Amino acid sequence: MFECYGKKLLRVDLSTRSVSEEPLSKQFIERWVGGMGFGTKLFIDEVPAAADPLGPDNKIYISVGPLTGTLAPLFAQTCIVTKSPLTGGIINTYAGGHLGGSIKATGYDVIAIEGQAEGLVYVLITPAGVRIVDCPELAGVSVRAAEEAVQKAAKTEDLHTLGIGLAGENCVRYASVISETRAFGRGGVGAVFGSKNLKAIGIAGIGDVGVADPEGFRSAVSAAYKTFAEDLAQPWSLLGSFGRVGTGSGMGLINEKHALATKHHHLTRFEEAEQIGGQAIAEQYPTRPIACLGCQVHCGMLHKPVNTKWGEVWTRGPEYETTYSLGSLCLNDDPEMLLKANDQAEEYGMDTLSLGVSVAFAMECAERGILPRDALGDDHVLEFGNPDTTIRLIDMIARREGLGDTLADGVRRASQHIGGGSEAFALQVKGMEFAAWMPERMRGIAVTFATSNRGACHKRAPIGMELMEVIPMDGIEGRAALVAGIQNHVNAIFALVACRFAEFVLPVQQFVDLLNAATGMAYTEEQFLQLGEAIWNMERLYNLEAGIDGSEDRLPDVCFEVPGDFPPEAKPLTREDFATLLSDYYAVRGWDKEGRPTPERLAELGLRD
Amino acid sequence: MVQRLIVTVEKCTECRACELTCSLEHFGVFNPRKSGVRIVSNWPELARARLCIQCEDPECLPACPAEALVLTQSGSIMVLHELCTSCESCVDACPYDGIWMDPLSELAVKCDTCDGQFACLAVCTAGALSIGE
Repeated sequence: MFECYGKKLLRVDLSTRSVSEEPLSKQFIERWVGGMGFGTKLFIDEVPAAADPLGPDNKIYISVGPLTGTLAPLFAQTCIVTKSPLTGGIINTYAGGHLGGSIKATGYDVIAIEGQAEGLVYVLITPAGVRIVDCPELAGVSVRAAEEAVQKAAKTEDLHTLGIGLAGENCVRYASVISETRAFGRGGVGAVFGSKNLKAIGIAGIGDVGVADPEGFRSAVSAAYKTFAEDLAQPWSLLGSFGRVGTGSGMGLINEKHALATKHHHLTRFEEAEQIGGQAIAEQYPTRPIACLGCQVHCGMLHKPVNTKWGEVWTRGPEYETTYSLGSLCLNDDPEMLLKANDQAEEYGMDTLSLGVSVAFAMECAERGILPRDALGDDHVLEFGNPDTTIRLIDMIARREGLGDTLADGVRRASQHIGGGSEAFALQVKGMEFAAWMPERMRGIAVTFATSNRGACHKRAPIGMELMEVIPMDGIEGRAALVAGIQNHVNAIFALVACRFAEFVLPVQQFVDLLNAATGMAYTEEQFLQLGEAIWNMERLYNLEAGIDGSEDRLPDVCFEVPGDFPPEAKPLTREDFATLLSDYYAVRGWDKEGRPTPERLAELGLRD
Repeated sequence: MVQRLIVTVEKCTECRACELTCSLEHFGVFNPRKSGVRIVSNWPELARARLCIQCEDPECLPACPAEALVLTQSGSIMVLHELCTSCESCVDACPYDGIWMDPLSELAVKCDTCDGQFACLAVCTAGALSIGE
């Protein structure tokens, strides 16, 4: 049993520069399975709710799961759990690529980073041991340069890295951690790295990954391959289109459905959407699909270097969410600007969602006269649809220069700083900026944004069902229950650690079959989903203790206004409907009217005696 | 002619399912370092494939002092793990970077075509793997 685990935690204390190993008990593994389960449980036990996210008491948990490093398709992700400097609550964030397989091969299921180094360091985890290496020479360098320096120093084959750029070092509250162009994007985990003076981690494992039931596992993997292959073979397959042109493949459809957040939610359609969609970018610039470990979907679009007016750009992506946030939301229709902005975000290490929303927020402030049009302090005009201003503002945010310093703290803090009533239109929940998608149009998004433990995140929403109108976008009946179910399900698969896209296609039972064959455990579908629900409630309890209560399950006022081009046949979001959705949600969750989990529900989930 | 594995790197998505399958077939575990085919990324350029080309006059075979390398029925050369002494003579002898050592077990690793069965082919959904001579 448990052949697919290393059954060990590696603890790296940057304050004392000490390293230790701890065994993970059978009970712990059985109960929390891996990935998000391991990270959440350890975080909640070890990081006080009052801890400063950017202080020495915060800790970072990097975890993999039972299916990481195996042939099970779409299980390449690595999970990071920490306290978010953006929301002040718990954050879980994921990156794919080949890092997870490398961590798994070290024999560590979890790497816990704590304390604060005195100067800039990187950590090397190789067969030769664990080393904390001073690297003052890497201060301010790009993620790519840091990755190359760590690769060179390690002199080890199969080294994979994760690291931060200038934005993380400057504690931009939505700085991301980048692993070979894949981003642990949301919630500012890059700023937490920066606060600890941790520039990068290089990881090279050489160990074997086994499974408990080899024949059962082969059979479960074959079944999963078949399920994905059948989906990918369909001309309408969403994942199939991701594999051809990237996650931006749906932009045309989203635009057609009046669901593309445009000009800071003033509009639901962008006239120039097609030219910044995945199809156009893939056709215009030499591109090839790149996959994460063992993945058939290969949604990562790697471009050859492109000459732009801002210089040569080499990037992977942009993903759909980036073409929304730095594209339609800012009214930018220049694909080369998006390639450049994506490259900046990769090199500085910033979440393109929060970044784009912050830029668009400043443009909105200028349009309303709350900020002057020369707020950048140079020749750049702060206005929608200005690509040069966008590129310049991204630099200023990463460097925390002028207006960029204000925007680097996210739109909630920026709106408090700028004032002028801007809090009403700051696109954030719990301090986290909106992902793509419009609560004004889609009720599942309204519930998801308002209730997610991460803030305005789209990772656990019925987007496909609403977009394809399997269910009416503006319907509220049963919508809260649907969202809660998806939240539970996605949390469960993040314990494995699966890619979010796997949930689009793979039935729950196939996740469970893979889990059981790999581990030797005997999870049922019901127990598996309940694991996700338990994790969700643990996060909620932690956030409540950290001061994030039901009053923050809200949407900004702008979501209750009607966008200018709102389709006449559709129903706008009303405060009454939103109140109904929220009370339905609390009821489905077994929470009280203030959004607190009840002792009875917690007992049912095994979280209280 | 001996059949060999061909990697068309222009089609390869670098998912390395071939590596995971190969190590499972030959060692019963998932470990890319135990795979007889390796995909080496070189972004933004195409990947490079490391594997045995099943050459006609293999220099690894006579170089092995432990008789751990043997010809299979299909004509490929396979490593008998129980006889390998980790001396690396085969690695030194091969001019094509077609055989290497697994750092964990210290055993030689190469593509033996699964004696003509090519287990990796089934998992390469990108169509980058094929059989050639």
